[in-house]
Amino acid sequence: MRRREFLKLSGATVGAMALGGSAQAQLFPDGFPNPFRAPPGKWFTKDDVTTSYNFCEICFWKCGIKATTQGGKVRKVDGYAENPKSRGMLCPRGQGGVATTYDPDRLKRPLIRVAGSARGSGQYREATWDEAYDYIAEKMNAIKFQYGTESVAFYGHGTGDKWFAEYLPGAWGSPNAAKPSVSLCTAPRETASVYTFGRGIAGHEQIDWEETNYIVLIGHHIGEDTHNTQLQEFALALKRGAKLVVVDPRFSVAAGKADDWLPIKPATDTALLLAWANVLITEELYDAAYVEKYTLGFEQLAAHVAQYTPEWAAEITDIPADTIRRIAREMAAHAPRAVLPVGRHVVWYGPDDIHRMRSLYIVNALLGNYGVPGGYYFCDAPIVEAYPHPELPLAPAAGGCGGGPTEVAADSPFRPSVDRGKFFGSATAVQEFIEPMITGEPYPIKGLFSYGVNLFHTIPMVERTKQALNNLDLYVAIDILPMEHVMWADVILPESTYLERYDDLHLQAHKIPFIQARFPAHPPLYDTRSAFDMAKQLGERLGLGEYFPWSDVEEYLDRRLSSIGSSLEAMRNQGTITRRGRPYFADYERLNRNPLDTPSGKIEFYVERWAEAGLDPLPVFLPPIEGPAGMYRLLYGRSPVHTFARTHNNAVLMEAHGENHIWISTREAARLGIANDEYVWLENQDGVREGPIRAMVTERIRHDCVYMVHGFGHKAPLMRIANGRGASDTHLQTRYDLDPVSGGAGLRNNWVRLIKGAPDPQHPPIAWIERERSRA
Amino acid sequence: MNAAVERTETVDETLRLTLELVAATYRTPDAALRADLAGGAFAVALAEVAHATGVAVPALADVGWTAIEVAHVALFVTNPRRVPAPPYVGFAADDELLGPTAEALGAFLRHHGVEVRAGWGDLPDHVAAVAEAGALLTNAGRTDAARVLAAAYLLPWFERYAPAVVAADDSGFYGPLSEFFRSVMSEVAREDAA
Repeated sequence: MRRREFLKLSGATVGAMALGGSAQAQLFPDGFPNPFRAPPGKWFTKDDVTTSYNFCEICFWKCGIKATTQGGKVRKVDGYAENPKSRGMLCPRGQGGVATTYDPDRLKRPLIRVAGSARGSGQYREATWDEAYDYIAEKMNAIKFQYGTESVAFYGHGTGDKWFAEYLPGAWGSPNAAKPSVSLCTAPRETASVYTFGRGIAGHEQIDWEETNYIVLIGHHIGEDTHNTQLQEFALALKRGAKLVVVDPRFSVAAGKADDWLPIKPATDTALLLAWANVLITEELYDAAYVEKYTLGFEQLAAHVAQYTPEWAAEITDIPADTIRRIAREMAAHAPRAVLPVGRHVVWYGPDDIHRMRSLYIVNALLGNYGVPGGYYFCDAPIVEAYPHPELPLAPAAGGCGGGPTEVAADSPFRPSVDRGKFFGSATAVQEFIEPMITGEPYPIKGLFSYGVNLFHTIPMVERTKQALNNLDLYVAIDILPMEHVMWADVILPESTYLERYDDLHLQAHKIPFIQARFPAHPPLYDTRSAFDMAKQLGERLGLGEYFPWSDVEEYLDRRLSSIGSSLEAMRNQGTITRRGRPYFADYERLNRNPLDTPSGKIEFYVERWAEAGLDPLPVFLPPIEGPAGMYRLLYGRSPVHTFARTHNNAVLMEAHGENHIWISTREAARLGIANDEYVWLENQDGVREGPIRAMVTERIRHDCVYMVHGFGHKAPLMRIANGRGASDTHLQTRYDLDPVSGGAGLRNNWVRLIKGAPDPQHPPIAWIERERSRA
Repeated sequence: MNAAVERTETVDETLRLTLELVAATYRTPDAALRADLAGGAFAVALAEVAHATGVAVPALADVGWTAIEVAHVALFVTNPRRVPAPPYVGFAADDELLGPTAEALGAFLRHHGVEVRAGWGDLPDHVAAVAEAGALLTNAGRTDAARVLAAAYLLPWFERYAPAVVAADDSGFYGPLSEFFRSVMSEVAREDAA
């Protein structure tokens, strides 16, 4: 037998035994003869405990945290006061998210699918990192040789997506890089904002909650989609006496705090917003001085919205005309400290989405609140120089929504992305990459990286996605847990968690702009790597080493921080560096600068560039698509303790929210004979069935729609806790409607019926699963 | 050499060999295991342990190397139908990674001067690592400590997970071996108790 040498005897003990002293040594440390408990009083001395700065990765608010580590394990994470995103507080999922690092179902080392086995069958062998990189590089080069670099696509979501959805695609030469956070989430709001204000919203909604006195939420799920300081500020505004109006077909958590709940008919929000614009203008309630100074196209807008009377909107929205007028007048009475906050997930109905977002921004501007205390503030990210490197062959575009069609120069060696021509804007759209994987048009996509994107719980038309994956020559999944789509990959690269790795600096655009850093609380538990390391190693094997000139992540970070007079060691003891913001027009005007980066330098009610492109230059109302008779429009939303479909194997968070429900109105439930808490099936317009899911019979929702929380209904037996709990809205989304301007995929034009007779799945308590994990 | 000493040495050698076999079996299949299987050293060692403990030699299927690699991943690393046997002795005891049993094990190993090499890339209470530690301690003359590892940490893991491995194993390799090691560990513990 050959000795396996992953363990070694320390010199001291070897020496002692060589002297024969071992016979005198105690068998157990400190004479504490219990192999299942560490000696008491030995493990929590002050010297054993370390703290490290980090930022939370459980959701994308990215709160600054301090991790407390003892015995090689993080015992607690907390916010800290100096960080503007946490201010010393942390939400339940931030606290509970720690458990993901110690999840026994984690991916532990690189795996390569056994040749000849079917995707999804789980036939893998372990591989070294070198072997995995070489395998991927060889396949990528083969695709490059046969189809071109553009035929490898990249998806990414999370802090490390910089490397796999931006930097590596740019170095490699593929424009087909996309993030679901764009076309499956924010694309309409970003595109509308850029064309209206000349500025995007980006990752931090710049609502001046601290200064506002009147808040109107349009389908905004604050309180359910818990973003730490956003919620803190919202709660403080209400405590201070701000009035709240909630427009939502559902009596949401926010509606429960509201002065007015307007249960609007789904897909008609744009009509309501246009009617509010109508009232503000026809009753001369808008901020005339602000409009005169900062906006362009008011006359066209006024003429345009004259048709959108409250009476017209009442017929469409089910909101009485008197209520529409009253709310408009109240907003105006509180202006400019009245605000209609932009939400985050806004891809609802497809072509209507861009008009809804434009209408929302226009009403805000009529109230004179953009760039003014109590409305929207300006925020820019702090500047830290990039690590010097050669210019990338292709500019990363995965996160961009900022302009018109991306024109490829005639002499460019690269083809445009496969989604060009499908919509006006410059974003790349995740869902539009799928079809070329199947049809090969306009050219084939034969390779795919998925970094942190759960393909089967993110992209609509799941079966189409599976069909596409089966057509690939290379599919690489980079993740932490064995999500369903991961087990379809040719190569699985396991990523270290946020508690185990460094990452690039996080530069946060905020009212108080700040820089935050991530330091590992302890080494990776398994043979896992960071995206930073993976991209560099892979890049070097692809002959792209010149674009990765740094030696390691510590040197990389130190070099970047040196550009602002700091260092990695200084940051290690500080965590966050704040900068002074310029939140309002007045801050810019003192410097003779204009924060509005539109062609006119003004807020553009009328978008000339869209008119030239044959698009509506002013927002219009598009009648909603109606569903089949007897079916309900499927609405979905968030849970305060879960993030997308990422956290449903986390025992701590699943204890707090372990399955989703389908909300249905009391009237409709009675008609169908469905009792509260009864399990039902959901079947959509294309016959796709999901569930069982528990019915929540309630007066809190209109009769023409149903609602469920997104992210449940996993179909991955390996995820012992998540598997089979609740139903998946994504699997019921067998259609989407493309917004021809932003590229967003409207997901709320799917309908379901509820079918009785579903069995009670009798889910065991989470604690029991934890106790019984893997027992035969 | 009197009979008692001779018997003790035989028992110690059986324990050492068993621990080395467990370590070789449950870590990532590597070139050393492949060579030991191909060269017959693995089979000889199994036969020695079987003879010494009275446990029947496991009948291993004549499977290819790839089948062993795939089975190892599916049984102990990643499996779309869930990993049947998480290979951590602390988890077997606590249903928690890096819980109190793993902490106690870590303290025990440090107390005996055993530490994990930096390149190991897995948890220190992986069943292969614990077995390797036991083998090292046996070689260093601390058979008493190795016995603690076998009885307090490895045997409970085998008692809990050997049936799961037997049920889920498609290779005909890990199932018979896991049942064999469970029986051997039980026998060693029984003899110790006696």
